[in-house]
Amino acid sequence: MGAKGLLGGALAYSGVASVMRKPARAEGVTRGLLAPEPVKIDWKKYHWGFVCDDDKCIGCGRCVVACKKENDVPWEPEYNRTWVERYVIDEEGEFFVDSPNAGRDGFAADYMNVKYEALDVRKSFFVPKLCNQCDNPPCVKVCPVGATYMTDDGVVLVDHGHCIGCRYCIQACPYGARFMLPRGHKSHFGVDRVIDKCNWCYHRIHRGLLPACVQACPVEARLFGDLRDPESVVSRITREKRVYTLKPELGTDPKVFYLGFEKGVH
Amino acid sequence: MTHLIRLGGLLAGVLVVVVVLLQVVPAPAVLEELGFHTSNPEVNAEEWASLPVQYVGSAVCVNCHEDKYTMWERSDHQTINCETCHGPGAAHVETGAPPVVVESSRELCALCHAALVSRPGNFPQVDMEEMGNGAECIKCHDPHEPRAGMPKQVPHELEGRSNCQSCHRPHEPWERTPPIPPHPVEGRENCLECHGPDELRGMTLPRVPHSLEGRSECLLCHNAEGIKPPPEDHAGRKTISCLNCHRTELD
Repeated sequence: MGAKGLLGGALAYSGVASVMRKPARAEGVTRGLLAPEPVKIDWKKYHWGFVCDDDKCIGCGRCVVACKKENDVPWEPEYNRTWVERYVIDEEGEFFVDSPNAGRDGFAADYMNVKYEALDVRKSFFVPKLCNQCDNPPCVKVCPVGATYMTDDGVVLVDHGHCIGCRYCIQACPYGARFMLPRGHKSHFGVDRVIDKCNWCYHRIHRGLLPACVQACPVEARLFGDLRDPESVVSRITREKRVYTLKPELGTDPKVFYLGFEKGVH
Repeated sequence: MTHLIRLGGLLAGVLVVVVVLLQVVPAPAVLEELGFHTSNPEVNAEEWASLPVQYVGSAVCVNCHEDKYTMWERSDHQTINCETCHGPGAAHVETGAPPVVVESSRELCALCHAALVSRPGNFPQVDMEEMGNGAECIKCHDPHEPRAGMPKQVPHELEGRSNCQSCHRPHEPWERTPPIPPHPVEGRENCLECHGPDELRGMTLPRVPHSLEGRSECLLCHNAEGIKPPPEDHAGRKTISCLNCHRTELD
């Protein structure tokens, strides 16, 4: 049985997204035995991709909450591995972009909508943002100590044991995906004041689970899967639909693809 | 002049030897302890992969909460994982306690359903100020089966569209097609019976044979012990939704 067969058989992985949409009853899962161990296989055969659907996102912010709780990200809105932006375009074509509390508390509260009450809105939509896990990542190139790197399956990670907190990678990332853990907020590896970023829930995808934000999304505006598997949901969408990436002119080769993309989103 | 060249040559030679030696001789272990070593991506990636999971997924919840699960998995909320509202369940599953969040506030419902200009137009939204007079939404709407007894109206024009299932295909789910019927279609061939606009709705269903004046609580009389109890497949429906399908004879 090949690596793919192993994972497919053990975790029903090949259609990971479709499996999670309608969760099959997990046979044999009982109290105390909740998540499978990380699978150890040749991850070079996988290349993850992510799809955000701007036409579907409702701006509820549950993805941001799920991310913070799953990954122990500081609760303050300044620190985010993922966030949701609201674009509002008025009749003159002027853009207004905001992200109150990074989308953590949704966009429904009155104080978040006051400033748009007097506006003639032509168009408005939400754009979920997260690390693009670029195939050509500028953040990895600038790290002076080699503490950030790309894994076999195409995810950019930070080694908290080696990061010196120089923040050069924060400057280098054109998407603002990186932040520094504040003093006193220790990461899982016991250090603070190091760089943290979205890693597509590396601990979940290696167990056959979806990233927390994908699982938490109530409207399937976030989709995740293996770009090397032609039947995965991200392969089908990137093959059959017109998808866009953020700032393609920079040549970073992002792996987050957007559906329903509007001109002017950056 | 020659002695300067000789000295320069000597220095260059020493430099070359030092550089070559640094490459050949391995760094002493004590340096590694001091932190003078490079990251090992393979080891570090495995460390990241073995971090604990917090959001366990609805497939785990069903093991204990089958009643809620069976309601939810056929409802309009079937795309929402249990933990999206109830919060991460790992600690709850591992120890049985503390219980997960059971939040019943209007604000939680408003996160998704408050009418906002930025939301997709086809997503169900309500004016939170008008709706429900500030009462908790869950008094009428069961979050595990939000449409209990309330068939949704067709949100688009019907002109020129006679066969609902040519677009709403129950057997061909695909991410971006129109919504798939969430219930079996056998025996319910006329979709508009329930989902049509007001004038088409409920034409053949039993009508209310009396005036509704002064009678706002259908279930006061129509209950298991009372007059004409609702049929068995109406379980879970509430007074508020009766008139969605059953019109009075005067209508």
